[in-house]
Amino acid sequence: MNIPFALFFEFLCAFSATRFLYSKQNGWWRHFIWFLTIVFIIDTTGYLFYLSRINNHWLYNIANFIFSSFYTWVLYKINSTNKLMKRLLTGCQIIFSITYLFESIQSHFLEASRFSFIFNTIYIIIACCLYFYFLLKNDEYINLVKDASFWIISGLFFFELGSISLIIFSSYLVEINLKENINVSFAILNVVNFIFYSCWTYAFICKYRQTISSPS
Amino acid sequence: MQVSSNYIITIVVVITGIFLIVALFLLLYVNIYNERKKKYMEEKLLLQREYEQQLVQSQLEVREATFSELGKELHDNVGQLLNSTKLLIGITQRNIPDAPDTLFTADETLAKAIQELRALSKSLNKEWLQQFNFLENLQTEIERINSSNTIKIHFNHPQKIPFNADEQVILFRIVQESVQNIMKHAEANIINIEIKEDASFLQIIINDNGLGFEKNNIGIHGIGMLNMKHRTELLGGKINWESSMKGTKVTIQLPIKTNEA
Repeated sequence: MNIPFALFFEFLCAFSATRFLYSKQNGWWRHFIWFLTIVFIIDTTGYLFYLSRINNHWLYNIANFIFSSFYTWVLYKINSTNKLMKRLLTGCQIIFSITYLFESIQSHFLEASRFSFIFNTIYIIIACCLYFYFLLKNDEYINLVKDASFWIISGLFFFELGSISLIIFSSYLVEINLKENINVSFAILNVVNFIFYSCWTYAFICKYRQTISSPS
Repeated sequence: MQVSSNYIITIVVVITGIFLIVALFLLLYVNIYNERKKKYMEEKLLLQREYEQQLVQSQLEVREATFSELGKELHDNVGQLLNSTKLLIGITQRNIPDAPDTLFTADETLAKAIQELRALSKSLNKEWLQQFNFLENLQTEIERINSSNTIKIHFNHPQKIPFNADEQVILFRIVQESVQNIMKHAEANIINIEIKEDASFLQIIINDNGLGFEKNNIGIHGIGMLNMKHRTELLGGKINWESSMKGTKVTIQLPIKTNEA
């Protein structure tokens, strides 16, 4: 039986989001609370489906669209002062939504929209790289160790880079899982999720410290 | 062509591993570059401060030279003219049998003016200032002001202060500017100047019982305060003004340099 470590990391991250971002002063950061709660609920449901041998591809096909759109929105908010990034993210999100709908309708929402998600992963990685580029280009020094936005994007960057091969090889991996009962995606996602949620949890702590140290 | 499961698994694991390592290196690079940027900015700031200090130093040197020149002019030119006038009044007094009282009053006033002018000329003369230490010069200046009977200055100080002659001149100008500000704007009748020294700092506190001021309403007087700030920074110190309806307190804190080469 595969132990769902990722669910544990998700729960901890959702809990820390609730604990550290609850204050109204955190503005749009508060949306992480409901987002991570939904992620935890969906992943728990997906895991229960998996245990009951019920097909959960349709669930993840819909959920991943919501997750990916949320990541794009987070990137958009963090880069809200950068016009190029805003245009790039808006354009890519529109293209992603159209291709996702097209692919999903074709598969009657029963299979993962692979090409849409590959496209989404690629543009998120590019957006993360651009964020790092603009960060270095900026004349102002930012203490990255204490910068919440930096850790959010770092986590996202690790997650997308770590999971891209799973999307590319998803059909093979599903086949291997069915034939030989080796769930590679599950194992890799546990590692990637650990890094991802650790970065986000730390980002929430940074944001909390920043909020309590700044005057209201 | 059928691809084996192990081959696929290996490829996926290796690609994922490589990507994660790449991400890690990229983040490390961003962090290292950012730290270098911090160092560069600190160096830039330091250079800018040094440049500003040199600029202020040059400005002060020019000002001291101007003061010195002005002092000499007052002493040699205006002073001589006043002395000649005093001499002529003396001759007139002797030549007129019943000289009017106003002539004696004019003579006394002129004598006072000559005395004031000499004192002022001395306090402007840098060479003269360097012959004496800060405490003696300030004491002389205080006595001159106290003799006017318009304001009373109390002065508490240690035996000596641990600064070289140039630094003492700058310090003297800071205190002089502060006292002049009080005399011009504060409508105070008491000034307390206290100098305290500990192992690492020299603290000068100047307070008065005047009207005080509002920081937002400093206007043109701010130039004098800015000069004081620049001079204090030149000595590596800090200056702070606290003002209320009961008066103003100026605190100057200067580091004492030990083990000077």
